[in-house]
Amino acid sequence: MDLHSEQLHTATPDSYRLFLRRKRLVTLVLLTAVLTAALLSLTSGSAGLSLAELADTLTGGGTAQSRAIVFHVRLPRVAVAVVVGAALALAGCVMQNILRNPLASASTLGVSQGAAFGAALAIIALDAGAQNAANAGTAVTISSPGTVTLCAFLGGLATTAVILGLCRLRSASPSSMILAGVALSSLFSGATTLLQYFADDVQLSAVVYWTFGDLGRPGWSEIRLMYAVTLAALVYFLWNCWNYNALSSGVQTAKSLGVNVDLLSFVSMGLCTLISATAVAFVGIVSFVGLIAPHIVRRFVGSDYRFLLPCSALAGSLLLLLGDLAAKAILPPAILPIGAITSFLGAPLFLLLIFRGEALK
Amino acid sequence: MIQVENLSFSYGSHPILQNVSFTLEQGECVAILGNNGAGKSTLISCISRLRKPSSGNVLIDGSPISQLSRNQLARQIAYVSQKNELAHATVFDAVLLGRKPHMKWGPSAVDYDVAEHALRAVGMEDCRLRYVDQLSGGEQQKVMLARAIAQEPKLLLLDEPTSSLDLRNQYESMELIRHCAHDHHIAVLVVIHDLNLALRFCDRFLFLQGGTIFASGGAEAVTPENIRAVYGMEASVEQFREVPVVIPLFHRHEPCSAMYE
Repeated sequence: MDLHSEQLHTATPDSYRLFLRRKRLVTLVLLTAVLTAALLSLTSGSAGLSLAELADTLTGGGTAQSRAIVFHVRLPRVAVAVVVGAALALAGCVMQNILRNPLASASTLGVSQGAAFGAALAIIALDAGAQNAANAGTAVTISSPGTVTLCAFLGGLATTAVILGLCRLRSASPSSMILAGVALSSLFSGATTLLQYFADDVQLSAVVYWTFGDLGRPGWSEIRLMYAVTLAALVYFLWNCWNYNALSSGVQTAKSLGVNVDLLSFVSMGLCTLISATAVAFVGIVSFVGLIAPHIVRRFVGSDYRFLLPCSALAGSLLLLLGDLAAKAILPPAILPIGAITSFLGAPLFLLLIFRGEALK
Repeated sequence: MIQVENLSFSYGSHPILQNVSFTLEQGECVAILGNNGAGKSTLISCISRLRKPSSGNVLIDGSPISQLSRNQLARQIAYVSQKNELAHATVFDAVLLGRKPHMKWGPSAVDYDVAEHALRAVGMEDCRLRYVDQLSGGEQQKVMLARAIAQEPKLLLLDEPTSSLDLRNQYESMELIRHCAHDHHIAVLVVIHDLNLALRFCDRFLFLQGGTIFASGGAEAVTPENIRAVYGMEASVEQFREVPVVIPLFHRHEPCSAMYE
């Protein structure tokens, strides 16, 4: 795509070329910010590690202790923050386009809660989560990540089906769609609570701890799965960026421009559900990132999905990395649950959107 | 050449279009006239396949459009809807979107070129980087036209393109639409309510009534008889400085006076 825009013909005016370059610059700035935050996150923590030591460890050197810290604690944590932030932001960005609703995101529509219920069901009823005996109550090693992901996906899919049905059958307004999301969220939260009621002590502590949202939980195999799913979705989304651009001019216009709107909506919503459900399955519910990240980058790159998609993903990663840094910094050596942190950061921004009247325009 | 053959459409058991057939050539601008509910908008949405006709076919240069994919169809037919939902996009990006059916991964050098020429064709090149949702109604209409031109279709369908415009913008837009037909060699089908605008800028006229074509032809088809039959209203067609002008003869009758007694 960039290759093409580099070959702009002479007839294309400089002003537009400059305009595109500015957007590319925003993307680059975001990328740098993500890398910086990641580096900061890798060097911060109770066991101090200097930049030189970090570089040494990453390139194969370092002490056994520093290797353990970097490869088993900090690097997975950063990798998770990056992929979960990107997944939630991408899902929010695409859902906002497909549903033509600026308030859409996995957590506001209840997709996350549905996924959380599915995952809790897998952990408790299907015994997919085996308690780690060494530190009971603080870590759940998910014994079969596939089952948990599948159940989370099905839970999320149930919500998505209801939302899509609402759009199709009732052509729901943005606000009624969010109200439906609130209803579905409380339904699934209630169901999760019921599950917890019938769980034994160990399972209960596992599920409660798990609903906090914790970036330190997934191991490398889960991280690989998250990256694979999210990257596949990203490729599909980028492949369709002009279709999303067309769709933001209305369904009729998009159809007349050759977009197969039904297929696009169906596949996009399915992928959004999949990537957010995977994130929820391994990390727990992380609210607001998916909603806020696309809105923040829209201010800088407009609603051109060529730039909005990658920038949203980067902004989502950045938000989670910063949230994680805050979670570590507020009450050291404790690491506060990331779900709570993003809610504290996200809710005021959400309110700001509503007060400015931009959300339901 | 575009042939519309026996096109029918119904909502459930309620027929909207019945066996509509006509042809139009590339390079001519044809007006679809008729009162509200005559099926004008349904006709063009059936031709653009936004709605699926219950029977009948549309042929472009002899091949039926029902066999084309949406993307192939979009290279043949452009459609400008009555109400445009506007994205927060720049004018140039909005026009570039017209190249969507021709793109693979993204816009090529040719796509940028064609978009730029389309933009110049409607005289909006100075507004390239303004946002379409901040433009006036007339300017927005020009951007939509530029997008349709960039699409390089054989057939351009417009649903009441002048309905929300002021007098000057109505004339400017229609002039541009006529340009589309004559200069870019596109067959243009335009739904329009203003008979005088239609007479000024269109080459042929289709009167639609109750889902069928009541009359069609050049300016000579716009007669007081046809207007009475289609719109249910008396009118006179006069020549003013060699331009045919329709003057509606509206006699106010007072059916409501009894209510106030």
